[in-house]
Amino acid sequence: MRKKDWLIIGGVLLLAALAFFVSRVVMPAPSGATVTIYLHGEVYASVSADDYQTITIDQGDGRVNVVVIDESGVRMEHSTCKNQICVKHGTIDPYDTDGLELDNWIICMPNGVAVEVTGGEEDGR
Amino acid sequence: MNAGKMDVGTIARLGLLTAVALVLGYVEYLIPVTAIPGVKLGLANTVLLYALFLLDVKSAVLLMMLKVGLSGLLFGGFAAMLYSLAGGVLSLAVMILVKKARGVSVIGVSVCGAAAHNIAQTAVACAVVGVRAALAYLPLLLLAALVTGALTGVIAKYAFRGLDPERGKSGKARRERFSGEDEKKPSEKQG
Repeated sequence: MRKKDWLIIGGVLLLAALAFFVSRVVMPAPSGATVTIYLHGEVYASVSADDYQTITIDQGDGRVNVVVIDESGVRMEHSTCKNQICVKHGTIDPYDTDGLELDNWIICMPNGVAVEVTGGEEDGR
Repeated sequence: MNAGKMDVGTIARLGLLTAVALVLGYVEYLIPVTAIPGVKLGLANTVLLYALFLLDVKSAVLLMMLKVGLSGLLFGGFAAMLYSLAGGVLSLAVMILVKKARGVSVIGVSVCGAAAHNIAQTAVACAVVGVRAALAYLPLLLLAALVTGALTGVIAKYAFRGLDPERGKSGKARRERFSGEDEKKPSEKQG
């Protein structure tokens, strides 16, 4: 490790902090315990996280995603995509505000589906 | 990239390196080593680092194109190929530039490559899932790039010690080097 390596590491950390600031502070997020589903960047559905339900996003071309909202939280129950990263992501709890600060998105890149979970109660955003 | 001017040794070496890159990429695809979904160690990048440091820029570019094209055809599909092409092109471009700067070791170059790769994928993701979703993931991806890039850099640094540092040497010269390494000769090279 040389001196400039540490500069590079510092630079990447700075970039990460900047991206964190821009994505968490500058950009407005829906308030309250809300689940917002985006399809190709557009809002597809926006529902309360307390409204337990199953939402199916069928794009009509074989690409289907199933989002489940229940008492444990929000998860991608099923996806027709190849990598299944969204399904493996697991459950996001809308009332775990500290956890949300780090990770409040379930994203399925192949199908262009993104699920945003915003916090309930002490909504810090 | 003029195949007519390429000697047999170069073709064989590039073929071998392409195979290594593909296998490393596939192993990572089968056995995810990180807890964060979508984050990979990027072991295949060691092959590009090898090409960049011990061969030349031309070979590195060729290897990157072959890796992206072939792994897209074999495992990923067309969309995945576009993602990895974006990541591969930006990451290699950044690595070439950073390597030109003096005083940066293979670890620094590797970290830059990993960060650039993840930034490129975020840019593509902006178009696919929207800017907010993509940007929300970027800090996590950059921190991951720091760790995976440094790890791959360290792996590459130590792997280079067992590989011929002088380009164009015959197989015999390399074998001699390998046997030299077997005798546990202490290596004092600084990476």
